[in-house]
Amino acid sequence: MKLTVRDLTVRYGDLVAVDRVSLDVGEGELVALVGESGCGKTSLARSLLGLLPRTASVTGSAMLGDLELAGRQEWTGLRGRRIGIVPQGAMTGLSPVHRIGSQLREMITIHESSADPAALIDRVGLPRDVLTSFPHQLSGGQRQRVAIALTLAGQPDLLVADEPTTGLDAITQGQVLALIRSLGISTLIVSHDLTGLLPYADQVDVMYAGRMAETGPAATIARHGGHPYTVGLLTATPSADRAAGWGSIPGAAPPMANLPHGCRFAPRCPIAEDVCHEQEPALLPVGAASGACHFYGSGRVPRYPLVPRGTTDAGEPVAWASGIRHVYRSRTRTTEALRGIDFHVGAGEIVGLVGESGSGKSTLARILLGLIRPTQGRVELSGQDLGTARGRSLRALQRRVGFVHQDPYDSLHPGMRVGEIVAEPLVVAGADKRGRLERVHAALSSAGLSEELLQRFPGQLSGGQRQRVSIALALVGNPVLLVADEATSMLDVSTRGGIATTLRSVATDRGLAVVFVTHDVGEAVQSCDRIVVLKAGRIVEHGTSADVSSSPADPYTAKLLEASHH
Amino acid sequence: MTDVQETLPGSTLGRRGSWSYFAGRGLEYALVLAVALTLNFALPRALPGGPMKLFGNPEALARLTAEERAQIASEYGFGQPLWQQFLDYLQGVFTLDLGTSLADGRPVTEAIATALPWTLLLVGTSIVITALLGVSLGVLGGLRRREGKGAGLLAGAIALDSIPQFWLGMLLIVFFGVKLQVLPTFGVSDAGVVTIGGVAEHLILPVVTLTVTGIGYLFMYTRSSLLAVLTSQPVEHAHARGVPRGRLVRRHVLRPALLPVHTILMLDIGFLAAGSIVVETVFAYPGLGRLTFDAIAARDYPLMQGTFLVLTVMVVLMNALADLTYPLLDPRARTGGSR
Repeated sequence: MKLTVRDLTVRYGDLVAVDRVSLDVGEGELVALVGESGCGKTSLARSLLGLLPRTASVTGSAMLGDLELAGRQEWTGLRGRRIGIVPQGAMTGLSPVHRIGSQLREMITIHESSADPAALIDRVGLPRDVLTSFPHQLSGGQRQRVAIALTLAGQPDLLVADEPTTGLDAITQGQVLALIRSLGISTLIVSHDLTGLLPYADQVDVMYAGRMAETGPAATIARHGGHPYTVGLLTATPSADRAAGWGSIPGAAPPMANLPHGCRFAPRCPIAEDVCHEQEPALLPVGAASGACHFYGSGRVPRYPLVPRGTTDAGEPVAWASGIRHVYRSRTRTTEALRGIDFHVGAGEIVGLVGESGSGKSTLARILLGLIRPTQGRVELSGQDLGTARGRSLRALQRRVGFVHQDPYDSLHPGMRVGEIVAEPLVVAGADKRGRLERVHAALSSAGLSEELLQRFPGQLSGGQRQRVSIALALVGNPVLLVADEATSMLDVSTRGGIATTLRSVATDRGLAVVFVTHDVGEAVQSCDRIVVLKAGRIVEHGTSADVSSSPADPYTAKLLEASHH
Repeated sequence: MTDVQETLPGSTLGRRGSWSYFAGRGLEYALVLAVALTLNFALPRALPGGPMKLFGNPEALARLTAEERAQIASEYGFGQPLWQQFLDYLQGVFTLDLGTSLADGRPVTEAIATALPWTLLLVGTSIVITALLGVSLGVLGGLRRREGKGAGLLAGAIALDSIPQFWLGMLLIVFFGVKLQVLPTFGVSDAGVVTIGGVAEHLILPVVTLTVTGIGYLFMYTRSSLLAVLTSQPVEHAHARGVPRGRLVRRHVLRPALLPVHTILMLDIGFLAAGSIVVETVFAYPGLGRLTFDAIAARDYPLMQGTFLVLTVMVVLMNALADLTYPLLDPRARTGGSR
C-alpha cells in the first residue's frame, strides 16, 4: 500500500530531529532512506510505528492508504498488522526461550492472520526444521530471515526495515536485501549504507542533519552527479575496485542543538560558496530527482580527499609470526581458531587482515599484541621472541605495539581529559614531565588532532575524533607496530576514509608497521599495501592489494570482492 | 556463517557428550566439598579458647593435675596429633559417625537428626512465603516503576532489607508475646505437648521475622532483573511487532527475568536449610541454627563440625540442583551454542 509522508517533523523538546521531511513509498516499491547517525532517519522510521519515546512530538502527515500515522496515540491493531517492522539487531532480537515455530504461531494468533508457519519459513528461504530450533542455534543471517518471517506473519501492508543488515557479513547482507526485495511489499529501508542498498532500491532518499538532502530513483542517484553529500557518501564507501579510490568528507555532522546557518552541509562541502552559508536551499527538481543544493544540476563536481596509497617499499620485517596455531578450550568444546599461519609485516607497510567473524583475525591480532600466547608457533617483534618473554621483558615488548580499538565510544575513559588519556602510557612508563608533553603533542598531531582538544573529555568529541585520540594514545609510546582492530567499523561512513588516511601517514612518516584488521575487503583493497584473507583459521589468499583486487586466487576472496561490488 | 544452510538446529558438533559434562561438574562439586570438609575441620580449632576451659566448672578444672588433664584430653581425642584427628574426622563423615557432643554426651548425628525437622519446617514455610511475596511484588515493582506504587514498594523493600533480624524478633516478642500476650514467644510447644495447632502457633513469630527480613532482597533482585529484560531487544522487538502488553509481560518478560531469580532462590534455600542462627536463638527454637550457636558457645568441636557439615553439604547440594535444573528453564543452556 502507498505511504505518503508530507512535512513530517519530529521534536524532542527543543531539538528538531526530523525537519519538514516528505517522501513517498509507492505500491510494492522498495525505498531506501539513507543517512549517517543523527540525521533523523531512525526517528522518522520510528514515528511511523509509534515507537518514539514519550518526550517526542510528531507533526505533519504520514498517510498509509487513508490512515493517518503522524501523531497517532492508539496503535492497537496497526503494529504488525498494517505496518510490519524488520528491526535492527535481529542477532539478539528474538525471544531466546521460545522455539521459532512457537514465535511464529504467536504472531499469527495475535494478528488473527491466515498465514501458516511452514509457509512463512519457506517464503524466507529457510529449511523447515528451523521451526523446532531456538534462535541461538541459528546464524545471524538465519535469524534475520526469521525476523522477516515474524513480520510477514501479520500480513502487513507496509514494511519498515531499520538497518536490517547491520552486523551481518557482506555476502549475507546481499542475500537478506534480495529476500526483502522479492517479497513485493511496499518497504521503507532505513540504513547508513547507501551503496549497499542501491542495487535493491527503487527510490533513494538521502537525509542530512534532519533535512532531506536528495531524493530520486536509485539509478539516478548512483550516477554520482547529484547532491554533494550523496556524492561524498558514494566515494566514502570503499570499493573493491582499487582504481575507484576511497574518499572521505572532512569534518563531522553538526549537532542538532547547534546547526549551522544556511545549508546544513555547507561547512563540509567542497563546492560551497557564500550563498550556501546564508540561505537554506529548497529541494530543486532536476529530471527525475531533486536535491536541496544551491548548485543542484549545475554540473559542479565536488572533489573529496582520497585515501593515499603507499609509495615506499616495505622496510625490514617488524613482526614475524610463523606456524601459528591457536586452540580455545572451554568446558564443553575446543575451537581451533588458527590452523597454521605464517605472517609478517614490515616497517612503513600496511597489511590488511581480512576475514569474517570467526575467521581467526582477531585471535591473530591479539597474538601480535602479546595478549595471548599461541598454542603453537613463534612470534617475533623486532627480532625478539614474544612467546618466551615474561613479566618485565614482556611488558617492554608490549609497549612497542600500539593498539587501536574497534569501539571509540567505550574504549576511552569518559572521566579523563584527552591530554591525560594520551599521556597515560608515558606516566606508567615513568617518563619525565617535560618530555611527556612534547610527545603527547607530537602523537596528537600525527593522529590529525589539534592541541585545542587536550582539555576536552571524550564525550565532547565526534566518533572520528575519538578514534584519532585512540590512535594518538597508541602512538605516544613510540611503537614499532600498530594493530588497528576494525578501527573504522563503528564510525560514520563519511569519516572512515579519514581514519585510513591518518593510518597511512603514520606508517609513512614514522616508518610504522600497521596491521589493519577488517571484515570489509573494500577497505583493505583501498588502504593497504598487502592483503591477507583468513577463513576458518587458515590463510586462503595473500598478495598485494592490486593483485588481490584484480585477480583473486581463491574463490572465497572472489566472493567477498563481489559482495562489495560498488 | 555465510550460508543459510550452514548451521542446522540441534547440531552438537564440537561438543562433548552430556555424560562427560555431568562427570566434569560432579568432579568440581566433589572438589568443593573436599575443600569445605577440610576448612570445616580446621576452622573450629582456629578459634580462641578450647573445650578444656569450659569443661565442667572452672574451679574444678583448676584443681586438676596435669596428668588428669592429659587423660581427659586423650579420652576425647584432643591429645592426638592433628593429622590423626583429621583422619578420624574424615572416617566419621563417611560413616555418618560424627562423634559425641562434649556438652551433653549425645551422639552428634542424633542431635542433628532431632533438630533438622524443626529447621526444615521453619525454613521451608518462610522460604515459600518469602518467594511468593518477594517475587510477585518484585514483578509488580518492576512493571509499575514509573508510578507511585512502584517507588513506594522499592522504598519499603530497602527499609525491610535493612532491618536486623534480632531486633525485629525482639520487637515481635515484646509486642505480641509480652504486651498483647496472644502468641507464644519461644520453643515449639507448650510444656512439651506437641500438637499441630501448638506448633503452628509457635511458628508464627519466627516465620514472620524470617519473611519480613528476607523479602526485600528478593524483591530488589527480581525487580532489577525484570527491568533489564523489559528494555532488552527481544522485548522491544516483540512490542514493535504488535504483541499486546499483557501478553508481552506474561510470555516475553517473565520467563527470562525469573531465570536468575531461580538461581538466587536455590542458594538461599541452601543457606537457610542449616538453620537461621539469629532467629532460632532469639525464639529459643530447637533447630539446627540454635544447635550451632550452642555448639560454638561451648567450643563443642564435634557438634560444631557436624552442624557446619550440614550447612556445607546443603549449600553445595542446592548449587548442584540449581545447575541441573537451569537447563530446563533456559534452552540456551540445554541445547548448546554460545551466541
